Amino acid sequence: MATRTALVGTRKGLFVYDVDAPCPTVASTHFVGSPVSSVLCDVRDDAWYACLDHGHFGVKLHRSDDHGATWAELAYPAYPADAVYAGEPASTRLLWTLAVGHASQPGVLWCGTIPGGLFRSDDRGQTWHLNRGLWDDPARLEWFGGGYDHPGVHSISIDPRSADSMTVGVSCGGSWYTDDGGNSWTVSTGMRATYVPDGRAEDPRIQDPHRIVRCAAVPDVLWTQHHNGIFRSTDNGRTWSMFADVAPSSFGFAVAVHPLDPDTAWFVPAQSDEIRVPVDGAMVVNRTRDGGRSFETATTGLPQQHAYHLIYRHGLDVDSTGERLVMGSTTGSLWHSTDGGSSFQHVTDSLPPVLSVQYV
Amino acid sequence: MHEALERYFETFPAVRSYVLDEHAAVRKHVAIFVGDDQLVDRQLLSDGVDEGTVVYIFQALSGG
Repeated sequence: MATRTALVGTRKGLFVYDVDAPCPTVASTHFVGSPVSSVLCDVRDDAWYACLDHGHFGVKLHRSDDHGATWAELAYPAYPADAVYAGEPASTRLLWTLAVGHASQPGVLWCGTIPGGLFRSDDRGQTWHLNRGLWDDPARLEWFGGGYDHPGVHSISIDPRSADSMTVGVSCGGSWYTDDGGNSWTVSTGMRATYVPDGRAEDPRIQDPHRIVRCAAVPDVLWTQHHNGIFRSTDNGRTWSMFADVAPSSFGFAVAVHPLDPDTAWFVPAQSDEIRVPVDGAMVVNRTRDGGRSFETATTGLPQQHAYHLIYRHGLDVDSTGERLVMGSTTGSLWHSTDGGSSFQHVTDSLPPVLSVQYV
Repeated sequence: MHEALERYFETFPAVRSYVLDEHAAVRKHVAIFVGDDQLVDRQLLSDGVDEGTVVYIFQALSGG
């Protein structure tokens, strides 16, 4: 079996793992000591991208065209002078997610940021432009922070059938779609929030989809791990339906969908929003293979006693076959699966808190 | 100070975005001292800097 490489962005560096080698090894390390908030491999040109969050020195973006042998610092997505957030000039606080553009648009990248700006680059990250359609939508003023102090775009999903069609996820600001390349946006409906007064529970503009992913082969199907449960859309992100009461919990952050089978998706539950650890200290991964009618709970290879891991939004990835998964936890553990999430193998428990993983 | 920093950035352009944000203000957790005194105007950098004065740029002591 060929080994697979995963980029693992952590609180203190980027670690490149050969995850399913007989003895999983660290192939290389990068930016050790610096928070790596997001990683991306652009399958179109094999470039690697790393988003850094230096704190004192701000956010930065780096690209490597030689698998990490060398890195070049690029411009980071910065807000224009007239972009205002909460009465002050908007400033990029976090590069939360990077996404490759449509296959027909080589060199196009998208970046989701805190405090809520979506950016586009047409030149492999050399320059960036704030998407004004979303930023200037009056509904954005209803967004608020969840987890972080300010709202942010954490999910960007391009429709493989059209470069003009995409969905983005905002915490806390809901799920938004465009069919005109980002000139205008519509907020999707069907999500429900229990962290606001009942009168606002179905307000689509204040929803907290923790992560939104799309099935590559059947692009009308998207899955969401929301703050209050698991949702699915079968109409290209226009509307969402909830799957309630999934055992052992329907709270969590991460979700992955099988690239070929829209009915198969994975979730990593935590007890609740007040108690963000595995239920009863037992780490599990949930999988549905029938479109959410039922869920199986995988425990094999995962710690079942006194395990207090949390898998963040970008801490779970599935490869292009749907057979391999990799996930990293806030307590520095990494696991992978080679059987579609039926069982997992432990890779390491010695990493810094894991923020983002991606197969190369 | 504005002029002094501009001359610094002319020599080391990569430093600019680490010290200043996109609105050209001093980053929140970067401390600048003019001699022994902290910079007062962190937005416009209007503090005067005398010839021969040493300017220090520090990162704040926080995080973990």
